[in-house]
Amino acid sequence: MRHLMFRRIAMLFLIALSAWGLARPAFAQTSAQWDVRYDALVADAKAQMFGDPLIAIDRARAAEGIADHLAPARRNTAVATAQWLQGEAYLRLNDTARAEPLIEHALALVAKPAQPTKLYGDLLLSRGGLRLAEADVAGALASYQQAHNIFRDIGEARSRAIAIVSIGFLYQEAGDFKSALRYFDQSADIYKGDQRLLFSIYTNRGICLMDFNKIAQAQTAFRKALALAHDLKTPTLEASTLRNIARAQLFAGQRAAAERSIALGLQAERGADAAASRNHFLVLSAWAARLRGNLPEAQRLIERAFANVDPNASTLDMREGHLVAYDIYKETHNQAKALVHLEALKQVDDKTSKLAASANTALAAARFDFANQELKIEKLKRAQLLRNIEDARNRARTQQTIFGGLAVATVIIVSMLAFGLITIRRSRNEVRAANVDLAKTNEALGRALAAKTEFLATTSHEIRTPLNGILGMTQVMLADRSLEEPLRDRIGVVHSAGVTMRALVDDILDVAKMETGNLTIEQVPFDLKAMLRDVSRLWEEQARGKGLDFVLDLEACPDFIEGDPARMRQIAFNLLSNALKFTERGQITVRAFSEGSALRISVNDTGIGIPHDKIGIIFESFRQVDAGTTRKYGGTGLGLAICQNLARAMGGDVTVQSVVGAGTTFTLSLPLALAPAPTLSVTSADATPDALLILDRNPISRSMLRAVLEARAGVVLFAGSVDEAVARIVQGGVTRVLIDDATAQAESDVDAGLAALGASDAVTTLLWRAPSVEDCARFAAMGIDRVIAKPIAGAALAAAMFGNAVPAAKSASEVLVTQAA
Amino acid sequence: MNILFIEDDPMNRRVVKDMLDVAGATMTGAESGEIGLALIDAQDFEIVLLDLRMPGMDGFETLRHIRARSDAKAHLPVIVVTADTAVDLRERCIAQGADEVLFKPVAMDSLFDAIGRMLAKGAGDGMIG
Repeated sequence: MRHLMFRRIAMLFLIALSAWGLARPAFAQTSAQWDVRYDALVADAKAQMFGDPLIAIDRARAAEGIADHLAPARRNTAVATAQWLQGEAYLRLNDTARAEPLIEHALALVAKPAQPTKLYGDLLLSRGGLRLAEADVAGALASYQQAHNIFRDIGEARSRAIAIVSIGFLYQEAGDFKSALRYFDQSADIYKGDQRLLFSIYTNRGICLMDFNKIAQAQTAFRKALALAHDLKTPTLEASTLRNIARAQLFAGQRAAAERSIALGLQAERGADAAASRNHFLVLSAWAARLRGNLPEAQRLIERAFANVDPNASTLDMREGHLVAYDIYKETHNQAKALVHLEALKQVDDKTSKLAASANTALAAARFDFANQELKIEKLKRAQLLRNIEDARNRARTQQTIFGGLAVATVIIVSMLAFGLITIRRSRNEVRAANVDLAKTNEALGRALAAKTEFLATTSHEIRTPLNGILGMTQVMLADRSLEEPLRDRIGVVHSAGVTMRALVDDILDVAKMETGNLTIEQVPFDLKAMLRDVSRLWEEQARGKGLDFVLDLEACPDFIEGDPARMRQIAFNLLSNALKFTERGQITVRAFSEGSALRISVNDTGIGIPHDKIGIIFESFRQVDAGTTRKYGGTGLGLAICQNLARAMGGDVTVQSVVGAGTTFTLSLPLALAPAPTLSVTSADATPDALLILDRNPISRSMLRAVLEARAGVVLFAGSVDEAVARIVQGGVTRVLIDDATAQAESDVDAGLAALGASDAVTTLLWRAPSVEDCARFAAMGIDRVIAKPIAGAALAAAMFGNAVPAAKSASEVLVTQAA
Repeated sequence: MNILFIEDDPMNRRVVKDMLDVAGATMTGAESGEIGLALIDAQDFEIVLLDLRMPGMDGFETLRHIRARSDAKAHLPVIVVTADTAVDLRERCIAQGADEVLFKPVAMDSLFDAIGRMLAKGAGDGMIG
């Protein structure tokens, strides 16, 4: 906050820098006289931009005036360029009211170019400067990023570097000096060929370092800037840099050195008419005089500094002046004047802290995206990143061999993932603490974060592959009907262990996604009650198995709501798993209800409870109440952290109330968005429930028949055996039965089975491969209403069963459809 | 029914083969995109299952080659089977011409369900039996 003033100066410098550029014509030279004149005016406007913006405005306006005489093809660009230069010059003069319409108009002229142009990028940079002047940090950031992307795409390294430095400024304004330094360094990496840009970077490094109280290092940076300013033969820059040096020296208490710097600065500035700049020197001199103990001199100087300035003025520019004045008047016991400056100071600080706060919020949201882009760009860093990823991949690969025993592997992999996450997090903290070289540290941080994300994604991929084997094969084994019960039971244990492991891998991946802001939330209508019933069913059985009562209270629960069913289910699942884990006796109650505009889902247990002082930590990743809890109850300690993060991502929260020994209630609160109940598709006019029952054991043909017939049949049910089918028909509602021959033939007595189905009231259709006339007669005698020859096209089958309400399939005539007599 | 599974990991091929066996379908395995394309040339398949991460030609490239064919096999139903979990992966696969995306570990039910739906696709042109 102390150095906002010279941050502002550096910013203005940068704005000018982008416009100044290399004074080369923006277009190919033509011999036409108007082109030559136009190009000359634009070149002059650019050259004057830095020294005298008023002349630049004059030149650019003249260029705009003759743009009409140019070839129509370049007219738009010519007008836009001229307007851009005027806008830039006004921005340099702090006249945003004049600058804005010029820049916006120019942007509209060259909007949506087929090929992005440098001019378009330059205009976006200017727009960013405008937004910043209006304290719209999010807008400024967006503009700078757009500009950056354009420059990157068209290979304009210098402009790109400027865009990145501009973004660095935003971070600096927001008080995030580490990030700011990182951007400045990245910018210097991308383009070193511009002394002005380097000057800007050194200056800002110095300012950031001042904020870290690294005064000596800041002075070094300022001295480098000074050398560049000298080489550039730009006295204004020399003067402003000498002010920075003097300020740093005053902070360090080096009064005599500061006075020398001030004298040099004033000398450098001689000839320039910068009244405001001279005021800054007066302020610094007053400060030095106060340090020297010469209070009358100090008072004389500070009065001169404020001679033409309203002491109530609360512009950022005068902050340091107010601060020095306050100190001087306080020491000279002039309370009234001291108070005036103190109030002005407070106003400035209020404004700037507001700006910094809004800047912080806007940047926090955008930070990762941009950091990621930057990491991608830089080849050096990228090479390192790839090496890290390769290391992670190799590590993960060697783990595959560990998968001998499933139980052992589960523990090893999960603790390894947890260890990986914690280790990288810890190493990040250590790097942060070391703080030896801030620039390098920040770079390493970015790499570590990207490597961690990549590591988790890769590890998750590598673990999913062996899990595929475990879960897949146990499913295949469990599908075998002849499997004996004790063996089935044991395979079931292996299967659920695999399912648990997959949930853990998903949890860890979710954490990685949340940390990188890659979590996506859906907003779709769904049946909340059905979702809660479904998720409760999974846990109810386990609760009863443990001797617990399980209550699902949906009395006040809304039916259809809009939200993310998968994520809400995940939260409910985790909370229930948690409740069950920590409860040995009593009851688990799930309640869902709306309360005003909020939806609440609470999971209450009568378990061990959470000590009051531990409530804060249970939502942290990898935390349980104590280390012993992990050993006793298992789990990664990720569940609640995920629940809370998910809830917050959906605009809500998870809260907890607990009494040790009495129980705990977790409550998920979300903004309630009711959705209309979907209208159910009614298949017959009188809306009587009529279902199609399909007797088919083959899972693939079941899915295929469902896809073919569901649109016509409405409700589709399946049975795997004749007994199952008959039992279902007895329950009622089944008006049609479709029988597959392969499944029917698997019965011990095929004819008896078919006859049992034929005897029902439902219309029975039998699919039979190449039926003979005798077959058909036999089936008819059993009460089968219709025999259809296999193979048959899906559409033809639907038409045969439900009539030709839809156009007949092209192959309908090719197959044999036998209507039983 | 003959299903082609292009997948470099032999264990995954074995698992899916055994799963399909439960539903009475036969599976031909191809351990690389190149071999998979050659098999599509030489044989008739009803469905192609396709892994994404493979050495040499990856799943996306294999998919491009299938869709670029000039014969009817360009429209073979392709189900991507992947262990990747990138946020927009499903959308990317569909955009590149995949008909369905399944994530490993693949549940047997969802594999059968996807295959059945693929077979029924095309306004009921799928043959039952």
